[in-house]
Amino acid sequence: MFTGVRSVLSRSGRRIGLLVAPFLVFAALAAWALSSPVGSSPDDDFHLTSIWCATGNSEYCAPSGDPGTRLVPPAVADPACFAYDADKSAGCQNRIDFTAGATEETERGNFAGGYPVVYYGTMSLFVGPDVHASVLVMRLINITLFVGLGVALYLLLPVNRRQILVWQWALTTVPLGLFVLSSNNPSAWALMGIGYGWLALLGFYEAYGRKRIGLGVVFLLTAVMASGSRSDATIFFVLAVFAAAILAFQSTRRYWLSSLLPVAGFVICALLFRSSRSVDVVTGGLDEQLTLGVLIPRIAYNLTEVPSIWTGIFGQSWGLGWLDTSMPAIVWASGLAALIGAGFVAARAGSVRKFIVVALGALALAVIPVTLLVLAGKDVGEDFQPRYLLPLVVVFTGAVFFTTARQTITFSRPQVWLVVIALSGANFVALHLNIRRYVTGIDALNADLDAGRQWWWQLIVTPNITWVVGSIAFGLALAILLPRQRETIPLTAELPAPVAAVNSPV
Amino acid sequence: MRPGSQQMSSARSGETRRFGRFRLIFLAPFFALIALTAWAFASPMGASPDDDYHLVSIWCSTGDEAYCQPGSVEKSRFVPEAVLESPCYAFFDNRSAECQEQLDFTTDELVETARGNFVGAYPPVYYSVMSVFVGDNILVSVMLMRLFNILLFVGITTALYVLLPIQRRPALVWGWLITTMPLGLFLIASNNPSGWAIAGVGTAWLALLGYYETTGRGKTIALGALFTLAVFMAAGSRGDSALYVAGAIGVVWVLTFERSRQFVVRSALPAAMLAVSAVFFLMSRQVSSGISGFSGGSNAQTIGTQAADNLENLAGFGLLAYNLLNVPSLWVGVFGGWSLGWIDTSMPAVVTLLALAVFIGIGFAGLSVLNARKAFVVAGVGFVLWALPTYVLTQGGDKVGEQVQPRYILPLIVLLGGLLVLQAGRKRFTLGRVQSVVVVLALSGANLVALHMNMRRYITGNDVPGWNLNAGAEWFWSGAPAPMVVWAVGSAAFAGLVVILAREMSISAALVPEIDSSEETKLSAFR
Repeated sequence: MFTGVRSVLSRSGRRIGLLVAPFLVFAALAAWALSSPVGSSPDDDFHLTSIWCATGNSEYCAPSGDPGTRLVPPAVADPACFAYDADKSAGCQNRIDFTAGATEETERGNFAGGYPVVYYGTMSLFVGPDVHASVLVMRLINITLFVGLGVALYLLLPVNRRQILVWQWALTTVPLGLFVLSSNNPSAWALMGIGYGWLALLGFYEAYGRKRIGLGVVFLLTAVMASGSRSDATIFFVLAVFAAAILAFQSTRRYWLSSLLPVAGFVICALLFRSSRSVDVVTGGLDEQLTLGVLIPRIAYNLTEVPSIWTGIFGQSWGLGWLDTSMPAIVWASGLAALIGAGFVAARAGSVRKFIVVALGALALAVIPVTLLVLAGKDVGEDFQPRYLLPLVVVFTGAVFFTTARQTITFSRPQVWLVVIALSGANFVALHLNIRRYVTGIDALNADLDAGRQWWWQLIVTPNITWVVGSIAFGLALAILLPRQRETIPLTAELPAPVAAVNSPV
Repeated sequence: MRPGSQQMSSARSGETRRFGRFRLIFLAPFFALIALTAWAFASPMGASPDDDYHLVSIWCSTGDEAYCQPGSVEKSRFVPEAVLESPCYAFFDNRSAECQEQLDFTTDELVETARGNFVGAYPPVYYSVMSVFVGDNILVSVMLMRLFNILLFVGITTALYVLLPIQRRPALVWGWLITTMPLGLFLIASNNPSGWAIAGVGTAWLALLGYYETTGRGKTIALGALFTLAVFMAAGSRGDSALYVAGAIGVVWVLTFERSRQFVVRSALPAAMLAVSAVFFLMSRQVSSGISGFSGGSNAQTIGTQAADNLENLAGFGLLAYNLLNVPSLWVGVFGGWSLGWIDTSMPAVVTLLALAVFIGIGFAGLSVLNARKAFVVAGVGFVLWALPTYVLTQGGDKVGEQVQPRYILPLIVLLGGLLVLQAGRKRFTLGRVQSVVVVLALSGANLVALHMNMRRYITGNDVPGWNLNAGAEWFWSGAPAPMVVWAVGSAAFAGLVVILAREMSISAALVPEIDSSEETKLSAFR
C-alpha cells in the first residue's frame, strides 16, 4: 500500500533522514539534559565535588586542613536541596549562590579514591566559574560522546550488526537510560562504555579491512570510559567482553590473534580498577551471622523479587533522579512491552552461542544483584539500583538481537511502528514529568510547564519548548532509525567481493 | 481421521504407535483439571474478593429456609454465620485461614446481613446455578461449586478445541494460556462470579467465530449452543460482562461480515443473544451500571455520593491525566501486578514479569499476522481497555488503584489475547522452537511460584517464610492431600499442560501448509 509513497521518497530522502538522525538523537538527549537542575542525578553532590576537585585548581577546590574534607563552591557541595521530595521544586536552589568561590566544606567527594579518576578528570576540563554553565557543558559533552560513538559504530560495524546497535539502545533507555546519559553522573560513561564496547569488539572480530582499526580504537576507548567511571562497571565490562567473544567464537588463528585486543582491554580495566580502592562498599553493612537458615529464605526472596530491579530501568517502582521522580504506569508499561515484544520476536533467530550468552546473561542479571544484596543483608528495593544493572541489560538486549550470518530478524511494519509509538509516547510523558518535577514539583499537574515555574535555566529555551522539541526529536529519530533496521541487513550485500565469494556457497 | 494426523502417526516412534491413536493432546483436559483443582484447594472458603457477598447470595438463591431466611428489613437476610464470616483473614496477609476455626460450620443458627444480592445488583443466573450445590456441609458445598466451575470451563474449552476450525485453535489455546496467569486461574477456580464472566466472554467470541466459519451442520449447531451457553454465563454473572459479551459479538461481526444470505441467516442467533445480554444488563444495573457495575459488593447507596463528586472532579485535568497514564497498571494487575484474593496476596516480581512477558511476547509476535479487520478489532478492544477504566474512574472521582480492579477488565484482556494471535487472511501465527521453550518455561515457572505464594498466604500467613508448606500448617482443607502434594501435583500438571499444548500448536502449524511461499523462505532461515 505504501510502496508508491516510499518510492517517491526514495533513496535520497532516506539518506537525508540518516544524516539528520544523529542530530535528532542529540536534540532528544539535550532536552533531557535541560530537564533537570544541577545536582539532579543520584549522589551528584559527591560526583560534582569530585569533578571540581579533580581540577587541581584551588579556586574550585581548596584544602580545608582536614584530609577527609575539601572546600568547594556551595552549588557544587550541596545542590540537591530538592532530593527525595518530589513535591519540592528546584526553586530551592535560588537560595544557593552559584557564583561563590570555594567556600563550603564537604566530606562528600572522591577524596579517598573510592571511584576511578578518569571520568572526574575528563569532566574537570570543563569546570569554570559559572557552575550552571559548567554542568550543562559536561552534560552536552556526554551526549556528544554518546552520539559520536554511535555514529562511529554505525559506520564501522558490519552492516548486519547495525540492527543490534539501534535496537539495543532504543529498547532499553526510556526513561532511565536517557536520564543517565544526559546527566553528570559517572553512570553515563559506564552505560555507554559497556553498551558500545561489546559491540565494538564483536565488530572487531567480524569485520575485515581498515574498519577493524576503527573498531579496535573504539573498543579501547570504551574500556577506558567504562572502567574509568565506576568500579562495578569494570566488572560488567569484562562480562560484556566475554559475551562478544563467545558470540564471535571461531577456532581460527585469526580469532585468537584478534583476542589480543580484549586482553588489552582487560589490562586497561585492571589498571583502572586497581587505581580505585573500592572492594565493594556494598558489603560493608554486614553484622549478623550468615547461617543457611538465614541465607536460604533471603536468597529465595531476593530471587523472586529481582525482576523489579530489571523493570526499574523503565521506571517501575523506581523513580528517576534521587529515586524520587516516579513514573506513571504508561511509561514503564510501554518501555517494558517494547523490549519484551521485540525481544521475543528476535529470540526466534536462535543459535547455540546466542543461547549460551543469553542464558549466562540472564543468570548474571539475577545472580549479581542477589549476591550483593544477600551479602549486605539487604532486600531488593534497597541499595542496589537499576542504573547499576542498566549497562548489562543493554548488552543482554543486544545479545538477544544477535544473528548468525545466514539468519535475519524481521519485524512487520505494524510491529515496528507500534514500538516507535510506544517508546515515543513513553518519552513524551517521562520528559514532561521529569521537567514538571523540577519546575514546580510533581504536585502541580498541568499540561503547561511554563506556568508558575519556580526554577529553570537562564536560557531562551523554555520548559515547554524543551519538552516539545525533545519529544519530537526523539520520536523522529526512532521513526528514521527503527524502520530502517526492521530487517537484518544481509551481510553478503556489503562484503568485499572475494570474501563474499568464499562465503556464498555455505 | 484427517490426512494430517495420518502423516503424524507414521512419523512417530514405535513406542507411541502401540497405543494406536493415542495422542498427548488427549491428556490436556485432565492436566487442566488437575492444575485448576490445585488452585481450588490453594485458597480457603471466602478467599476471592467479596466472597461474603457472593456466598450469601448463593445461599439465598436456594429458596430453602434452612439456608436463608428473610431479614428484619427488605434488604437483609438471615444466613449461616460461616457463610458470611468465612473471609475472616481478608486484608491481612499475615493472618492465615486458621481464624475460620472459630466459626461454627455445622450450626443451624442464622445471622442477619445486608451483604448479598437482595436488590438485584447482580444478574441471578450464576447464583442460582451455584445454589444447586448448597448443602448442609458448607465447606463441601463451596468446594463442589469450585470443582463444577472448573469442570465447566475445561469442558467448554475442550469442546471448542474439537469443534473449532483447526486454524482457530491457536487463538483458543494461546488466548487462555497467556491471559490467565495468575489472576484468571485463581478466579476460574473460585466461587466468584468473575470466574464465569471470564470464561463466558473468552468462550463466547471464539464459539461465535467458529459458528460463522464452520460449514458442517452438526458443528455449526454445537458451536451455536456453546456460544449461547457462554453468553448466559457471562451476562448471567456480572452486569459489566453482559456489556463485554455484547462487545465480543460486535468484534466477531467485524471479523466475519460478508454480504451473503448465509451471514444474515446465521446472525439471528447472535442478534438474539445481544438482546439477552441487554436484558441482563438492564435488569441488573438499570441506568447507572457504567459506574456501579465496577464497584464490587452492594453499594447501591454510594451511587448518590459518587454523582455528587462527579461535579467537582469532571474538570479535574489532573485526575483525568493521572488515570489515563496509570490505567496500564490495571492491565499489569491481571498478571500479578495486583495482589490476588482480597487484594492481599501479593505476587513476587518474578511472577508478574514472566506472566506479562508471555502475554506481550506472544501478543506482539501475533501482530506480525495482521489484516485490516484484525487490526481494527485489536485497536478497538485496546481502546476500550484504556478508555473504559479511565472514564469510569474519572467519572466516579476515583484514582487508579481505587474501585476498579483488574478482574473487572480481565474478560477483555482474554478477548484481546485471543484476537492478537488470530490467524488473519492466509497468514498463520506460529512460534519458533526457542520461543515455544521460553513460553513453556515462563508459564510453568510463574505458576509454580504463584501457586506457592497463594497457598503460603492462607496456610500460615505470609509471616512464616520457607518453601515447605506442610511445616507448621495452620489451615488446610480436611481430607485433602498435604499442601506440598497439592502444590507439586498442581504445578506439574500445569507444566505438563503447557508443554503438551505448545507442542501441539507447533505440530499443527507444521501440518497445515497455509503459509505463503515468501514467508516460508524466511522461516527456513530461522532453523
